[in-house]
Amino acid sequence: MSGSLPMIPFAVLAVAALGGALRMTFVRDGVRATLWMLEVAVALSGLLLLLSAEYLAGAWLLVGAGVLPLLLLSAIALTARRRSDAAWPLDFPVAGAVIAVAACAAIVGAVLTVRVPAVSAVPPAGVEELGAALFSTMGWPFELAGIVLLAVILGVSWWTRGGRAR
Amino acid sequence: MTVGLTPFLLVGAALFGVGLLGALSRRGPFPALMSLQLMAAAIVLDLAAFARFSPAARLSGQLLALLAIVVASAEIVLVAALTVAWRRAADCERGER
Repeated sequence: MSGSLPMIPFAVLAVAALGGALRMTFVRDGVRATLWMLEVAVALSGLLLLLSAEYLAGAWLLVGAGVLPLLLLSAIALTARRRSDAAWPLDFPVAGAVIAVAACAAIVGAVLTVRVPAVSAVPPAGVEELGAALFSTMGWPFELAGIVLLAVILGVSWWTRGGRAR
Repeated sequence: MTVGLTPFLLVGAALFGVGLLGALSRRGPFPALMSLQLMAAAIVLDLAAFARFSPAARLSGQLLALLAIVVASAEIVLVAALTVAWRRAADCERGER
């Protein structure tokens, strides 16, 4: 996969990702929407694998198809008092649809009109190279991401420790 | 047949559009969160595609995508925890009344 990427796996994974995304957006049941989100995450991991970004594909699979669906299912189970609470209302205001379609059309227009200098695939960066960059040139952003995660862990622990304790 | 950068960017644009539609239209925190996750997925796909097809972004594209995954996950975990805490507080208030 160094010079060009195959069409058929790309088409299958793209259809799976887009189909899952549409089903996730239009389905009423929260649990089913979470399962469709899982399918989108798996398809996206496949697309990342196709792009030779193995490390990213693994990270996305762990987060998007592992942690987040579990978290969302737990949150739905904790907050839904009745089975009907997990059914989300499906009402699409016209303004939201117009803004979404306009944004999508603008991005597609930009993609189709702007000429990208390099169109053939370049040799992908390996995990070793990524790791070396994370501890040298990209050290500060890496540390910043760690601080963001630490702040989130502390915030979540504080907010969910129980109403009476505060 | 092979694919280049443009099909990946188009799939990313479509995913972003569907995510934006859900984020702007669906009521409730969880559907909005899942839509935001979809938009983050589109950004990660585009960054990885740029990393694969542009020599200038070969390394930085993947690293930025990794940071985008971290930020998107943190945001979703935070909002989910806030929602659970808010529902719990609402239940406590209802029980006291």
